[in-house]
Amino acid sequence: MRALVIAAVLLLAAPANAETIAIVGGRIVTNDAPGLIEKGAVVIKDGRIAAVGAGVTPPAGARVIDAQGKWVTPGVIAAFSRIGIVGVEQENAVNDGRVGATPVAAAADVAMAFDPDEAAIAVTRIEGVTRAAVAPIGGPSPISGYGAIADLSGGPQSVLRRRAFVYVEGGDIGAARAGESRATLWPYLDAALSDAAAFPMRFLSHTEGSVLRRAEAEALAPVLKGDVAMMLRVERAADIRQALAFKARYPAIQLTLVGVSEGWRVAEELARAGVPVIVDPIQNLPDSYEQVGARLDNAALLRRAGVTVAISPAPGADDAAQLRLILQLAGNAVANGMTWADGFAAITSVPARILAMPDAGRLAPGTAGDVVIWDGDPLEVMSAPDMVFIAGQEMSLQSRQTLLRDRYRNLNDADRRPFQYRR
Amino acid sequence: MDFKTFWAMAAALALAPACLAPAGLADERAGAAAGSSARPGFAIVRPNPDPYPSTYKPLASSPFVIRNATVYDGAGAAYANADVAVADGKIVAVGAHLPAPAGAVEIDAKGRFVTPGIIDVHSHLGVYASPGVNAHDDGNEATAPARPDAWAEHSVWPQDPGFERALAGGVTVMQILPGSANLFGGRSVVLKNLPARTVQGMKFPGAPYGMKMACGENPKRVYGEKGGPSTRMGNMAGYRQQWIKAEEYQRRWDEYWRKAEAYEKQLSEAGARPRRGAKPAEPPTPPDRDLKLDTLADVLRGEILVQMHCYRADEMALILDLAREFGYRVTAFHHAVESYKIADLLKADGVCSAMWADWWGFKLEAWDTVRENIPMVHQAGACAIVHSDSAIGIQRLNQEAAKALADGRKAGIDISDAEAWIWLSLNPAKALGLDAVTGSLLPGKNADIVIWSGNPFSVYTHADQVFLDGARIYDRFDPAYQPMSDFELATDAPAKGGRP
Repeated sequence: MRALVIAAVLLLAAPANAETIAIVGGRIVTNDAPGLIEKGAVVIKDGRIAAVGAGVTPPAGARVIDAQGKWVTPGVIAAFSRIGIVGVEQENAVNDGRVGATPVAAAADVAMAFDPDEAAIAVTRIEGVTRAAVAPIGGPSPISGYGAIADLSGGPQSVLRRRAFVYVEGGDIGAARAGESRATLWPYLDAALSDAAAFPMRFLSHTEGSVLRRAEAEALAPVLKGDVAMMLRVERAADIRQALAFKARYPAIQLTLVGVSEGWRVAEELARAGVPVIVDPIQNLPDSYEQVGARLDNAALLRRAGVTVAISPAPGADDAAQLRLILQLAGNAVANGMTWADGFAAITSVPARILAMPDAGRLAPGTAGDVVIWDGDPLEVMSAPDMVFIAGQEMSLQSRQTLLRDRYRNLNDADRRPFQYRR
Repeated sequence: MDFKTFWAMAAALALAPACLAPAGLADERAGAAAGSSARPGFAIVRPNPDPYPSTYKPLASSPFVIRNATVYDGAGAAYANADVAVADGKIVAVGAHLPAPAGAVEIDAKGRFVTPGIIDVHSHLGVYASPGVNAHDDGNEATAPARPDAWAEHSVWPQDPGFERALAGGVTVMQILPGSANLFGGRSVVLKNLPARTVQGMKFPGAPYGMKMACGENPKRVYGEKGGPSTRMGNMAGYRQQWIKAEEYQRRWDEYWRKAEAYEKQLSEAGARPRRGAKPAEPPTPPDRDLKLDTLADVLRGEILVQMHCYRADEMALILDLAREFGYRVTAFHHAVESYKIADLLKADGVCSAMWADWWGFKLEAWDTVRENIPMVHQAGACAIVHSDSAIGIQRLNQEAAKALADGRKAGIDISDAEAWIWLSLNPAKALGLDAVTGSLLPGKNADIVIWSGNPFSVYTHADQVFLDGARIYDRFDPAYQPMSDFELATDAPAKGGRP
């Protein structure tokens, strides 16, 4: 059965044969200048958006899809996840999301671990998520290595960008890895960046810098120059301030903060620094001592202060198999004070901006043909996609879970053969 | 008499002939032991079934009537533009244009929804309290695979901030369970979600105890290198060995009580018609008490409900046979991600499934989740429950039910909104043995009620007000009805800069 699914996916992910699609009559969330368009049309041609608007008519020969009463939006983008690298969280052999002790730890490259056949990809795709940032979060040091950006087509070319960012653990976890204290965490990061700055000269004669090995210093060098972004996880207000001081020391670093449970307490400072954040809006418990100020309206308060806010499941929580919850997270942010437009942007256009993907997260001529047709408000828990397109290709709405459902849908079948015979 | 004194005396009695017991205390002892004594000097030893009794008292309340709401009664019925009348902490009636009970406050709920309070049958609030530091790691007595002697109430920290968060999500009653490291994890405790200084202050009066058991990966992972079990067959062997001991223990106590009652009768007859020279018979000696077997024997007697952590369909089917082998019942399978595969078997045995809407993938036994598990179990006529197992998830169980309901409908399983609320209140109440007193808005039941800002199956809806036993215990718009744990006093939002 798995082979069948894979075969189906491969068929769908095959190179575009330039089908032109016109989705007509729906409520279109463009995330772009026209805003919300009632009863508009979206035309997809050669894998990209060709036209969007109320007065757009389907081109001759286009496949016309009636979307009356439906919502039409860009595909959802997760600004942070571990999808495609974590199969079964608790089985080491099926989990590449953790990096152990190795001389190349900070040079880990999840693009090489990404598996487009991973079951969670179809499970997530059929809920309307079309792209995701994929990050390593483990490692012996605070620097976990390179993240990638992938689409969720399940095709062999899913990785859209290798080495898209470096993920760094600040806070409790980073401190634990950098000498058991925040007092050593920041000096550790300073030393690492100093090693990166010394690459390659220092490493011509040495394999080790003050904290990084050669491969690691090489990996971090483009981060220092701002050619590769950095995602840094911090939670408590004091750590966020340290992160902003860090950014001030290294102004070229393209910094995004992840976690940020107490961000609302330093929202103005974050806004002034122009540092974007990726938050999980339902983390409202003092789950750890660095989150005692966690609250449900964190995302709303940050946004109100002018901070650029993306929404994604918290690192290490529901960021792999349950990445699909991202829509419910955004819905809850809206329920707790964000505007709908900001809540939806936080899982589409804002991640596209943070991840430097100007062709995604919006429906405008020339952007990627990643489009979802929904049976209702996409942030509502009772809504679901009716159709999902990635790069102009219609995706199957089948997953291993839907196949299991269909197999056991009727327990009283007159057909007495065992369930294993059912296809 | 406090419980320490009582047990000290019970122990003394177990060792000493009755005639040596301090006669002056005999009456008091007999009373405390809920036994009866025909004359001073002898009392039947009976373990106190309730040594940590509830001290819960409902908040003061006055009668009220909620007007013009959409009402889901929790038993499957919906009422449009309906009223709910409450007096003396109980539901009086649900219907249109109800007369207000004498002195009732009127609450206008036009455009809003009213449901029974949510009951979560699977929570670790208090035993895995926030913050999740080592000091709060009180949920798994993972020192031996059989610890039915551990009682969750002895770990509950009533200052866990999670209780207040759950209240804001409309949760009125929770079963707090030990974790799933052990084959026998220990006793659960059922709490009302009114904050208190002590766990006794939250205990649901009269609620039966549950006992947590666990299948599958967790026990074998925890004990695989600590003497076992290390396999699923080791798990089964572990359960069976304990049940065999429990049967023998139950038999010994039953025999003792039979003999003791006969002896008591003999004493009483001898006292009434004393015969010169008659030698009194030796009083029967009670068996040694074993705290583990006390709980297991009470399961066999049907007085404690088995709450069994089990993911896979094939394991659940084995557990049903295990229960038959030893003559007890499984009340609910918890997590039960594969219940949809055997919903017919679960229906036949009358076992509930407490399920997530969609959580999966974190371990192999959670690999076969389907989004339609809950509606498929319900449609098969088996008992379906939405549970949380999470301090985050417990805050929005209404959304979890909504997801399952929508996914079911999309797959052609037609269940109404009102019927789906059964998963959140009446079925959980059943699984706790409390459906006669709560879980629906039937007249006479506890007035455990939530007024929702809108349709509770919308992500945008909030619990506006929560009532427990007819008393308002939460109000989204009134800080006087927003409890806060001691832990958060210095860390709450106002202290850190205030709400904007």
